[in-house]
Amino acid sequence: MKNPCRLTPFLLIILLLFTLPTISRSQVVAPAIDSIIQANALSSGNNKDVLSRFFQLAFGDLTGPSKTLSLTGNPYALMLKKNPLLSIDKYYSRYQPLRRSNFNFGLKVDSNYKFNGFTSGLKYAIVDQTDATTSKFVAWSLKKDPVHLERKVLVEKLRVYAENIGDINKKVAFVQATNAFLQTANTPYSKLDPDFRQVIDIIIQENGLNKLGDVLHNAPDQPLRIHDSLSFANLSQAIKSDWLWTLSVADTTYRDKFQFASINLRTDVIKGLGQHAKGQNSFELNADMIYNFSTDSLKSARNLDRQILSGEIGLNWVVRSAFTDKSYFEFKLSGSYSGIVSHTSPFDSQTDMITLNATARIRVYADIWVPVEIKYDPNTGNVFGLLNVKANFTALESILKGGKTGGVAQ
Amino acid sequence: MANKKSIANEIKIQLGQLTLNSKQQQKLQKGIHAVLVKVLSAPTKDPAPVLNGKTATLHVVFTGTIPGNSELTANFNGTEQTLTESGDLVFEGLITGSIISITGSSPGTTIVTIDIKADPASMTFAPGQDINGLFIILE
Repeated sequence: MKNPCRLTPFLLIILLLFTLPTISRSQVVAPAIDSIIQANALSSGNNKDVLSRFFQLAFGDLTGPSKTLSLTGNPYALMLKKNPLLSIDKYYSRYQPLRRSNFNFGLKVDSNYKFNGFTSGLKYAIVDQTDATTSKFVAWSLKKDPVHLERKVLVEKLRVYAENIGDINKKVAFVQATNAFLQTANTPYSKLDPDFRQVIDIIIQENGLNKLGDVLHNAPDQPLRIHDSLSFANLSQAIKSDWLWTLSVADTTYRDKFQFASINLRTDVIKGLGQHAKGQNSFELNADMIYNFSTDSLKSARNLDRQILSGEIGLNWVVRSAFTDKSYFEFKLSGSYSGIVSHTSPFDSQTDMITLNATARIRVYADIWVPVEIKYDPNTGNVFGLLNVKANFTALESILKGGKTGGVAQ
Repeated sequence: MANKKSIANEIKIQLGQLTLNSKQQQKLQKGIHAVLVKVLSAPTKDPAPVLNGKTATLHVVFTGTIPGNSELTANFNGTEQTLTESGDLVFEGLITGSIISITGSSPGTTIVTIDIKADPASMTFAPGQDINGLFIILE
C-alpha cells in the first residue's frame, strides 16, 4: 500500500468543496426532501453503489496506479434541491425516469497525481422494487391496515361527538385534544385526560374496534405517532430486499484529447435474500456483467477494438445496527470471470481470468463508506487490492450542521 | 269561450307539402300526445337549496410519492369527499364550530391546509403516518 496519508488533505478539500454549496441551498429545502432521504436510509452500501438516490462522491483505487475521483448524482435530486415543489406527487410521478437515473463524471489521476483523463457515465434502473415511495405494496398495506381502518371509524365518531358539544370553547379544547392524541409523539393513551380517554374507550367498545383497542391497551405509553413510524419502517424494510436492476454506460477519455479511451456497457442486479427483522443481519445477491471496449495496442491509431466480457456474482453479508437497522459493516464474497472477446494481443498473458474477490465495506461515519476490495487469481496466485472511499453529500451536510445523523443519511 | 277552450288543448302543426292520410294523422297525434303527457306531467324541479354559512377549501398536497398511492377523505356533516392525489376539497355551509374530519394514508408527506379561520390552520403528516385529524371552524 502506498502512503495513503498523502491523500488526506486532498480528500478533505474535495469533500468540503462539493459539500458547501449543498449546505447553503438546504435552508430553503422543504421537509419533504428529508422524508425522501429517509426512505432510503436503510439501504445497504452495496445497494447505494448500484443506484445512488442522491449524491455519492467516490475516490477509487486510492493506492493503485490509476486513481479516480468521481461524482455520482441523481438528476431528480439535483432538481429537487433547486425546486422543492418537484416533490409534489404529480411531478414525482412525471420525473420517475430522472429519479431512476444516475449521472457520473470524474477524473483519473496517475500514481503521481497527474491528470490522466476524464470519466463519465449514465445509469438507469430498469426495475426498482426497493423504493417505498412508489411501492404499490406499501401504499396498499397502509390503506388496508386493520388498525388504520379502525382509526378511521374512531375519527368519525370523535367528529360526531365534538359536533354535539354546545360550548365553543369546550369544542375547541376537544378538537385540540383529539389532534394531539392522533398526531403527536408526546401524547400517549396513558397520559390522556381521563374524561377524554373515557370517550375513546366507549367509542372503541361500542364499535368493536378491537385491533385499535389492543394497540392502545397493550402499549399505553406509546403514542400513536410512534406506532405509525414503527409500522412504516417495517413496511419499508419489507421491500428493501426486492429487485433492483440497472443498465449503464460509462466511458473514459485520453488525457490529451477528448476522445474515448474505453467504453463500458454494464448491467447490475441486486436482490435481498429473505426477509429480516429490524436489526437483524441480512444477505444480498449481487451480480453484474460488463462489456468493455478499449484500445487494441497492436494498432498504431487510437481505437476501441479490444473487447472484454466480464461478470461477477457474489453474496453480500450486511451487518446492521440492532437499534437503527442501518448497515455499518458489509462483507461480499464473489467470483468473477473476465475474457477477451476480440483482438487478442500477444502481450496478454491469458485470455480468460477467473478471480475470487472479497470486499469489505465499513461505514466510518454517517454515510461515508470505505470499501476495501481484494482480488485473488487462483491461476497465477496474484492478489490485487483496491482501496476506495465513498461518501454522500447529505451525510456530510449533517456532520457540518452539528452531527445529526439520524434521519438524513442516504 | 268555447273557442278559447279549444285553443288550450289543441296544437296546430303546419306540415307544409306533407299530406297525411287519416291513419297517419292518428298515429302522429297519438305520438305527440304521449310525448306531451310525459313532458307536462314530469314534476318540476325544486330550486337548489341556498346554503347558509361559509365555504372552506382544504388544500391537500402529497409529496414524495406518486398519484394514487395516497388517499385522503374529508367529512363534514356526513358528506364525504376523497382525494387520491394532490388537490382541493370544497365544503359549503360551514358555521362557527363546524368540524371537518380528515382520514387517510400516504407513503409520502401530506400537508393539509384550510383557507378559512380554523383550528388548526394546517396539518402535516410524515410518510406512513395515519392521516387523522379534526378542523374546527372559528369564523
